[in-house]
Amino acid sequence: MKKKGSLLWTILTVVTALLLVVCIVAIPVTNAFATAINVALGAKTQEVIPDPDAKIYFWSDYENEDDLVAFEKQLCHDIEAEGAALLVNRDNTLPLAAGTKFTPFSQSSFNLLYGGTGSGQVSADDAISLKAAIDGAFGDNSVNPEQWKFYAGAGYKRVNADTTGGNQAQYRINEVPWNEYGAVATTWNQYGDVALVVLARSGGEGADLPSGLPELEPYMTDGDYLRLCKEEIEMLENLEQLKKQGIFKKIVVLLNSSNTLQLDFVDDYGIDAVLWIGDVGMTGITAVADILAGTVNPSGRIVDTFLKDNHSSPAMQNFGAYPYTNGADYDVATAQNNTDPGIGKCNRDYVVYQEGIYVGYRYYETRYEDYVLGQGNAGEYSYDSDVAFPFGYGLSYTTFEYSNFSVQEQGDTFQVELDVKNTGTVDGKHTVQIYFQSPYTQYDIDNQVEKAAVELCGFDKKFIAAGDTEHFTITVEKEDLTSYDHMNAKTYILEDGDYYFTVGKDAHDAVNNILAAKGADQGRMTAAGDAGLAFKWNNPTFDKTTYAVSSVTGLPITNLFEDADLNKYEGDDGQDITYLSRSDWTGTWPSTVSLKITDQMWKDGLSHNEADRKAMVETAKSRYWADATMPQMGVSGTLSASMFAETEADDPSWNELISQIPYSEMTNLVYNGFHLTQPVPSISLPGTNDENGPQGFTKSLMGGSSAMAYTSEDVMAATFNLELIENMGKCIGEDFLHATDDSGTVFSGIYGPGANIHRTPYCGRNFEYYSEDGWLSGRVAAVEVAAIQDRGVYVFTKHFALNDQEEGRYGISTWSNEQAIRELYLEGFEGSVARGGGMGVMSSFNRLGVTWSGAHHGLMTGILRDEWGMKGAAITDCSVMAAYMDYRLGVLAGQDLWDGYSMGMETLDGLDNDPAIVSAVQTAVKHIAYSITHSHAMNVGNATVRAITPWWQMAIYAATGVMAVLTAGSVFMLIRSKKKAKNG
Amino acid sequence: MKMKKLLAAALSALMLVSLLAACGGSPSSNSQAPSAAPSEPSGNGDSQGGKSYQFWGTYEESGENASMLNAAFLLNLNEDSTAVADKYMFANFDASDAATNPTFTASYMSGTWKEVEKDGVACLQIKLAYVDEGGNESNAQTAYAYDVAGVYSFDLTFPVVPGMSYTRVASMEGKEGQTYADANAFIQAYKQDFTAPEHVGAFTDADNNGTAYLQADGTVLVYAGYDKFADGTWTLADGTIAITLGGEAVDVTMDGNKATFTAERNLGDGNAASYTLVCEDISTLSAPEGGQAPAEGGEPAEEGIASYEAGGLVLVLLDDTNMKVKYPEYGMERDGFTYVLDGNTLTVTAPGEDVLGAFGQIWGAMGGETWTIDGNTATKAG
Repeated sequence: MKKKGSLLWTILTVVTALLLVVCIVAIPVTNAFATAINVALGAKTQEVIPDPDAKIYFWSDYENEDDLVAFEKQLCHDIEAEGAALLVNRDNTLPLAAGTKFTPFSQSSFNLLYGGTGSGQVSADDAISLKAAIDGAFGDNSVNPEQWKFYAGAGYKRVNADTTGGNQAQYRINEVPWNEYGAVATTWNQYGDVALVVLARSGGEGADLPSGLPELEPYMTDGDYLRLCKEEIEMLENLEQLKKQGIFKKIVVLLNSSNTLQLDFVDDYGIDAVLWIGDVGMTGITAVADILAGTVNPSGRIVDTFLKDNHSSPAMQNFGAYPYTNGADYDVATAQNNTDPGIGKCNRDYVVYQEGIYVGYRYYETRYEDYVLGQGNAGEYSYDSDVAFPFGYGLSYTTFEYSNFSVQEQGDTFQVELDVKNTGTVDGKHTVQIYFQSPYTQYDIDNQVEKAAVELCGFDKKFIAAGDTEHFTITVEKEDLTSYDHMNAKTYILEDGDYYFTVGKDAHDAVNNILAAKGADQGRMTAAGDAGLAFKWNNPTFDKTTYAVSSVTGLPITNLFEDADLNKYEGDDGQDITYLSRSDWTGTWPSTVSLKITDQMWKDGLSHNEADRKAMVETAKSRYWADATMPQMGVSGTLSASMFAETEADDPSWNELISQIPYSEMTNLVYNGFHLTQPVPSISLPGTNDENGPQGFTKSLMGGSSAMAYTSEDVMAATFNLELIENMGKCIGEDFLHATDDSGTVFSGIYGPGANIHRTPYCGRNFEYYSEDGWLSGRVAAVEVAAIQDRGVYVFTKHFALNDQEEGRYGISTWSNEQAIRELYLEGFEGSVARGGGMGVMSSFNRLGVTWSGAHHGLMTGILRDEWGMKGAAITDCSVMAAYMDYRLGVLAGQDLWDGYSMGMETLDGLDNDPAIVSAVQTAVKHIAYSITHSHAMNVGNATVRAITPWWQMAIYAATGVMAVLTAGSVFMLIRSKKKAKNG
Repeated sequence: MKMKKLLAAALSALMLVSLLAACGGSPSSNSQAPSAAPSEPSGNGDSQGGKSYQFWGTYEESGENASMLNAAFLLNLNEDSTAVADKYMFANFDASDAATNPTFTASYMSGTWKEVEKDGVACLQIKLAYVDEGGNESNAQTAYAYDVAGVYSFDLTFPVVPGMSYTRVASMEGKEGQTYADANAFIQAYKQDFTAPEHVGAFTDADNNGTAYLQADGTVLVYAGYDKFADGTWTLADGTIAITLGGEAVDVTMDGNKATFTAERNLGDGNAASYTLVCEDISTLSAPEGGQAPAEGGEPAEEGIASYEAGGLVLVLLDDTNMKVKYPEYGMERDGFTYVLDGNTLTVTAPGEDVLGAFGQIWGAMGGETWTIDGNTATKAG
């Protein structure tokens, strides 16, 4: 018995000791991922004791959630109703009569595309199906039920690339082969009014769409996801035959994608109508059905140029991730980690935006004008061979006529006026689009300033009853006519010469009007323009001073991105490139650029070596923080965050507030921003929760379900209706307000909207970006952002900046020139911040030149703060396991908050005696505090905020303690029992 | 003695309680934005009329993360309308009893199900989510499974890391009734046996379960457990063994006939696991076939008449004039190249754009016309 007792205590001692070791090891390991664990488990990290006298700064406009939900459903419908663009309508096929019977075609008709994938993925579990929408608009049993059942069981489904660790090769269209329809074909003549073909292409975070991947050639034409695959071609060929046989009367195509399909087929296969619908969100498909039924008159205008050849753009010549040719010499393949498991290429790849400003219609319309005018070595350019539908295009069920077009210069603006008459028989909405052309001069040629033939500069949309005339007055800001001269003036200029204004039904119509006004040879034009709709304004003087200062801050504007331009960056060892120029189209046409890493590029930013990093830190300190003196920290004070809810950003009292915070609390706040902010007890700043956009409040990423899922951003922009955008922004803010509960869980920040541009049709996240046009993106973003913030939710407009592709996004070097950067890629963000008052942005994964965007001082401070006057916080893109997003380099450049961190990344630790670092950290903390104090998080008033250890950490600590006691007890008992055994 | 037993029992119970506490707790409940979901498809209520269904399916990929990602799911749609999905990570090659099998997780996802008619088609509506110990849901989804000749199917999106967007999709199939009697029957159906690569010798790290397999053609494959994380080449000459991994020579230390080298596995986040791999007696090894290491990457030089490492590219000479170019990083290659080899100068002519297609971008960035040959390496000239 005694032996048995000893054995028992021996076992218990071993077991408890082992468990003790497990607990001890678990403490540092789990702490390293504490933020992610907290978010995943929903563990509380703070206790908020509310202030009974709290002032409510933001409140809901809805008495109950049901009212809000009902409004949002209708709003999503309305956005789609005004965003969907009718591209083809032969013989007035649409609208369709009541009682029309449909047979849907393609697996995507059953498996409709509601939104993209990745962090912006919205829950489509309960979204309305195409069949339900059609039945709703045309009556029950309007959709062939047998065809519907066939697709339910056909086993074919579109496949997206995985968000994390995915790649282009995973995309599949998976259309049903024609020979599999079998017996269901006998039902078609009963539902033969319309063959309704849905062509869908999904996009998502992490992988661009394949544009010519050889291994995908068995699945898609030339390995190109945006071309019709052979099964789709076969389907359309057979439908054309069935139409000839009278089985089907009409063929109607719905383009269900934010990535523009290559539209080289719409004149074939007997297609009668084509409607672009984008990603439709939760209820948008009901609006599509209403358009088909004619209860809604389509008024959407496409915000991208739809092409017959998607590869014809200059941007496509350099799209993707290109490895530096000598990467092996620099150990790039294994350097630096990031959030994509198994991928270590944070400094391996580059992309060169060799096309400069000639993206989308800026290329096609400009090349066209130069061809017509016989200039710029445009060659025998065939516009019609490239372009299927120009930017701004869209049909209606009625017709509109313009008259009385006039332009008046009024100081810093122009007032454009015209009358629009609805000359048809049905009511409809119409978007007036104002374009301008600035002179392309010898100065431009000499100084590499490029000019597009037309640029959108104003719009308005109104309802016009049949037979009625509406008067439009549109203000164009003179500032929008400027160009950025990065070679000579090094600021914005307004050149002397002839400017043209015109109203166009689309961008191509606009350039034709201007060409007509110039008296161009109509024999070379695609259509005769209307010179009466063009207005010439002469600017007598070259102005390089008026726009050389920020209209927001009054600070000077000058070059900030010379290090991102291969022709200006001095560390590239002479690897210059030729940007596309309209002075010589053929001679400057882009080709694949081959680049190598130089020692200077490595030291300036690509290196992951700590010695190099330290040198970069010292350079940043001496360059940007040379005058820094050691500020005070942890000062005893009585100020609290809630006192600053209405305090302007430039109020000096902020310094006093921030000085109360000890260094450790500041770094804790800056380090850990993964979908939340940490509480700062020393100033009673509550921690908050932040969630993804941009199609709505997409809490599905982190658990739970989404709130309202709106359409993709391009559909939003295609409405050209800023009132709808404003309503949507407020509703997104409302969803955050309603997600906030009394337990101290405050949802007050949104990762969105997206404001990058559609540089090519193949970017995986085009559904999260508005358009190929930066100016339009900025106008829409401004309204949406202001509306979201109106509900007390601070924004992080993403992904700042030049993150216009997914391939290689983790640290890819993006090379461009300053004119293109400013005039295209920053415009959307400028609208968000400078015009919309957006409090924040999310910096991007990529680099500008060799510098990670969050560490680029010109971008994060020069542009954001000095030119645009941003007041709140800039968060990083997901920084979990992304050591290249170095905290030191970030805060010194103007980066404020990191979206997660991991063990080994705490590079601010131990630098609490470094005046520059501490000053930079305090600045970052102030920005974060500004965002939170100006959000509905302040509805808690002067609450007491107490940081608490989350339950799971407490449990581990408790288990560790218990195990220690048990181990000690077991050891004691073991010794005692052995002694007894020995004695006995 | 009774007291001792009681004391031991109490201690054991206390241990169990404390461990449970470490695994559970009472976190705050998740807040939800208002749901904008439209009305549910028509169903037949909570009771499923005594019906039950069972689904099964897998997600599988090869590569370094296979043991972490690959999973088989057994989903039971029970008579009481509950849905329970068990997860079995078969790529860890553990087919032991489900009750104690660390690679089997009972109720990895759970929720409810019912028969509904959606848009006129009868189907099963299955709602699943990851539910943590505190009852909080994440990765919620609603799926619809349709009947095709008695077999239902749907895609299960499961979290690799619960609560995160790091998800994968398993294609599920199922039918009414029970196909697998219990979890153990399921494990036995989906278990896999680890097959070590063919090898003529090995270096091992018994403490960390690491193995470097030496193959007859001169390839070395390094495994951590069942996951390959590195490959390279090995040669043996005059009693000296030389090893390269990832294109770089590694230090092999000798102690008599005992050879040792170290391999690092990148674990992300700047962390790495180090494996000290030992071959007790290299005198028992025979030199690789042909006495020459194959091309880096573990690929035998069996294609064409010669091949050369050229930066990230591989130039493969197919015959006296034709060659192909491979880009192993993306698994891409293109035929249609021609060459002239004059001494150590290789002059390459690329095919036209119509042949190159997307590969033209790769060739444009990394390729070139003239190369200098040195052994198995080609260096771009100029």
